[in-house]
Amino acid sequence: MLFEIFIFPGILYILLWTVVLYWFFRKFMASLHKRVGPSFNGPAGSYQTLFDLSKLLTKESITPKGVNPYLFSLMPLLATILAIIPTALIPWSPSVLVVPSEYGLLGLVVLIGIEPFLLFLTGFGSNNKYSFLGGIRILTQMISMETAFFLSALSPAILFGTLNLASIVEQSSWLSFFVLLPSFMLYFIALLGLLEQPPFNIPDAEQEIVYGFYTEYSGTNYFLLKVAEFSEFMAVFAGGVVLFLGGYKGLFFDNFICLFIKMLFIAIVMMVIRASTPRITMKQMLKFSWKYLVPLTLLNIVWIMLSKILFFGTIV
Amino acid sequence: MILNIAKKVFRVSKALFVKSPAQKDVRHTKMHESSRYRGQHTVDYETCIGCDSCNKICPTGAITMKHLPFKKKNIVPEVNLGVCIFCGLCEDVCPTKPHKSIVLSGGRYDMLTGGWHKDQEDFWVHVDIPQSYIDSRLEEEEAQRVKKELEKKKKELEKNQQEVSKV
Amino acid sequence: MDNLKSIFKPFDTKYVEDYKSSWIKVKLSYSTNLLDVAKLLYDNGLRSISTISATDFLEDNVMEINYFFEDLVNKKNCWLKCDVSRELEHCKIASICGIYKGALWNERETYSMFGVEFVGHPDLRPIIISQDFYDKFPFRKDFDWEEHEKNTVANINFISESFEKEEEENEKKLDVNSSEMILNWGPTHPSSGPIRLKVHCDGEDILGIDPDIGFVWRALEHLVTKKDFVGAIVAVERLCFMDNINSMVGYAQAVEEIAGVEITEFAKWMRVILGEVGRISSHFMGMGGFYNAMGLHTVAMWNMDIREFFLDFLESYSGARIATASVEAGGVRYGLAPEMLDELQKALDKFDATKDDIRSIFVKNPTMRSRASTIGILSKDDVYDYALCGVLARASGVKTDVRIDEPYGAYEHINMDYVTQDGGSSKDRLVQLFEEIEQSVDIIKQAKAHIEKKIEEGEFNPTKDYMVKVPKKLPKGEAISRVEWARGEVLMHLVTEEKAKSPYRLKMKAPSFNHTMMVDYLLKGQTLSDIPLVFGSLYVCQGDLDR
Repeated sequence: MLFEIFIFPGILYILLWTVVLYWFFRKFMASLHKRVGPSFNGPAGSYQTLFDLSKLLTKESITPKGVNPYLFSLMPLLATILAIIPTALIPWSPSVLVVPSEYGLLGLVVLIGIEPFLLFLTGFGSNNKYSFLGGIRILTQMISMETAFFLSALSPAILFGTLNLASIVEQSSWLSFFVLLPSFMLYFIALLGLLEQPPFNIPDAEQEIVYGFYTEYSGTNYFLLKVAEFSEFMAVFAGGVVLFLGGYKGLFFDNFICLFIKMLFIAIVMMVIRASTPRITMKQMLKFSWKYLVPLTLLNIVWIMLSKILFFGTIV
Repeated sequence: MILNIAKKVFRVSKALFVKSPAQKDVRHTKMHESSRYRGQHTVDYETCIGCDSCNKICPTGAITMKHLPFKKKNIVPEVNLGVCIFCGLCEDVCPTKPHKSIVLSGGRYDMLTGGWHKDQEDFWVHVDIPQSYIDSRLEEEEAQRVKKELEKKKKELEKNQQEVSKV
Repeated sequence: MDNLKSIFKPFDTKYVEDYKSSWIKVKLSYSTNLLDVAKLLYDNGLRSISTISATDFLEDNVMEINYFFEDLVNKKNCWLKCDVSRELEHCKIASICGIYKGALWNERETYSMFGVEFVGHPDLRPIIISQDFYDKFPFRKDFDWEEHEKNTVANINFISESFEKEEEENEKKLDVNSSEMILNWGPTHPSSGPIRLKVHCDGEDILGIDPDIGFVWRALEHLVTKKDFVGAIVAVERLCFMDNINSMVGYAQAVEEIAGVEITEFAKWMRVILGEVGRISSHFMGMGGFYNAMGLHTVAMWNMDIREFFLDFLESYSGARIATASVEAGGVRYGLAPEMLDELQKALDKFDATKDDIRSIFVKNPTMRSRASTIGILSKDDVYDYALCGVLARASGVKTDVRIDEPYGAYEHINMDYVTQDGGSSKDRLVQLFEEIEQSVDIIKQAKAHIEKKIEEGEFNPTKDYMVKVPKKLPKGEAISRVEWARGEVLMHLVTEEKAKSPYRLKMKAPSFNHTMMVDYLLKGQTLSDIPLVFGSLYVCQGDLDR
């Protein structure tokens, strides 16, 4: 049990994941931009993220005058803890599942959904006009995007008739992959909105509101917020792979490596979209989400129920 | 419209296969060679005639003249690299032949200094003149002065002789 | 031209004469006639006021004010001068803001620098200079700069105290319970550059913007008077050093006109090639800046990749990549060697290999279109009223280009036409930037082929023909010269005294100054996300905004 809390899939695994994913983002984005990313420290720059994160830990955490002390200093810690918890619910390999439960999917979705509210409180607590604007933007965006996220994440539950993540992975096959393909694409678009990635990176708009609610943070606080952000990535990516792409099942053998490679595939597609699409405004995002995305998810549920009758033979 | 966006996304990935100049490692190879590159100055004290043109044309006042203990051609330029903007006007205006006394083209491009205040005060191009050169120039001047005096004496002697022969 | 000259018959003038092919030069005897003359000129079609500049003549105890009126449709322009007294109590003249909307900031600048009071101006506050220069009028000939520099620390304290006082007044003025606030889109914002916009907004909706400029003020117009005519090129090229060559060409032409010197054909063609390379280099950065405001950095990186090859050409020609100092009065500063033209060819090939990708991914990007085709629309009337020029004017459909209207260098032998778009929105300005880059590449190919042909025939000698001698002391005179800079039209007005070794007064008209006047007009009623988009598409460089 201690091994699972601290090493895998625990705190060390999350730190390692942060370091590796950040390095991967930088190198891949750089080659899309026709340049090289970090290349001096270590072979192909792999030590660079480690150095950056440990530098953050040694810097001074400045607390500006006039902030609300509970909101400002307590929230990063709470946000990190809340973001790490979903990793206990996901089946990483045929033998590793820390908290097996009948309602795994529901717990995953709810925990991912609470996170943005804590981030709004961080923006509200800093004594800065720009952070406040960033906090309001994140609330507006999350309300629209989470509806689509819930509806598309619950479609495998309707198809397989269970909320248990381990049995969803057991029952997945090539047929269910093709049936669930439209809901996977909708899940992907909602994922971009949930994680504030382009084209929906409105709360984190560096050119408009100077980094949103992250503005006043430095040092250890900033490190904790970054770890929370990357744990959210991991939870959402792993959730997508487990629900739609078949989890740890591979072509020749079932192992954790297949899950990891599928998560990297989602990251690559996200990066290529990031390199070719500019940001859209708040009004356009609201119009897109409520006029097109949510009705499409409702239609998707109809398709799932229809295919369940046609291909799987039963309604239950 | 989604199809349009998807087409753009695919086309962007063409960049993964392009060789760009940013991939050169400039710690080991030079990015671009040019013979006219305006780098660090080199001052040749032997050809400099001390005309002070480079000091007068410098737009920022980076050149100071160093005085030497001679009678003629007694100043050479020294450059403060912290003030210089590397425009190259001093090299353009220098009149010496066959090559100029203050040269920037093709000079050193990696001029670095330490970060402390006292390092900034030492960020100059100084002219080190060996004592042997100073001695040889002083000897030359002395020889010229002696030659001139001898000639003057010879002329006076001739004039005296002419006056004597007239009388 | 003659019906333009007949306007001045009922007024008392000292002289009315032709100047170059499309200008008339008029000096009024009494400055009280200014408003009537301005109204008549406006009714005759000269609807744009390009710039206003004052010259301080200390010995004659008079201050001469120059007005430059332009007609962008019929290409007939008027240079108007009048005298006012130099003493501060009597240094007044009527303001033409009621007739010409574009004179708003130009009169403020003349007031801050020289102390001329414009009677009837709606909002006469100082601009560009910092708070410790208020009411001191630094460009007058009897201002003591060294005396002012002695108390630097006290000046800096004074500036920061006035900022804090302003913030307190803002807090008192606005209602504490409403959601209105004055946001400082300040000099340390990631996407604003060194300019401060005071945004009065209600939540995320904008109610008004007041730009506060002057963070890059180097007093270049005063610096030039302390150097001789050759050393002044390092001050003129720093107007904005992305495209440093065309501003040097403008200054060199003014000096050559006063000295009465004609340059060689080879030097004219070299100035064309260098000018177009500078324009391409600046437009690449402009495209990148527009997309950076929307969060997509790929365009800037791809453009820098191509720009490196053009900078390689500039480095092999002149020895520096960006601040080249390569154009002097009398020609160009260095001779040409054949390997340099090979480097130029490599740059042109690299651009031809990448331009289709850039056009199809970024110029025709659907997300950018949905965001930028309805914002920042400038109509043709706005272009005439505020004297906008360059990319902004041509993207709204106005056919104006100094290279075709008043050709300089070797542009009369080049085959080119106006490139315009209709609409005038931010998206049209981006498309205009890209098409101008393609036009410039075409011009370079024509010029390069011509130079190579003439070198083969033996008419150009690239190692000797590049410069003619200009005398060190110029006679008394004045001249204006216009060039097409990357961001618009630059007008240089040079005044020299008898046996002058350095300029007496050099006025550089900055196109970005007129363009920044539009920020308030374009952004009233939009949201905060639109500020970087519109500001980036106006193609403003803070270096030439403040000079």
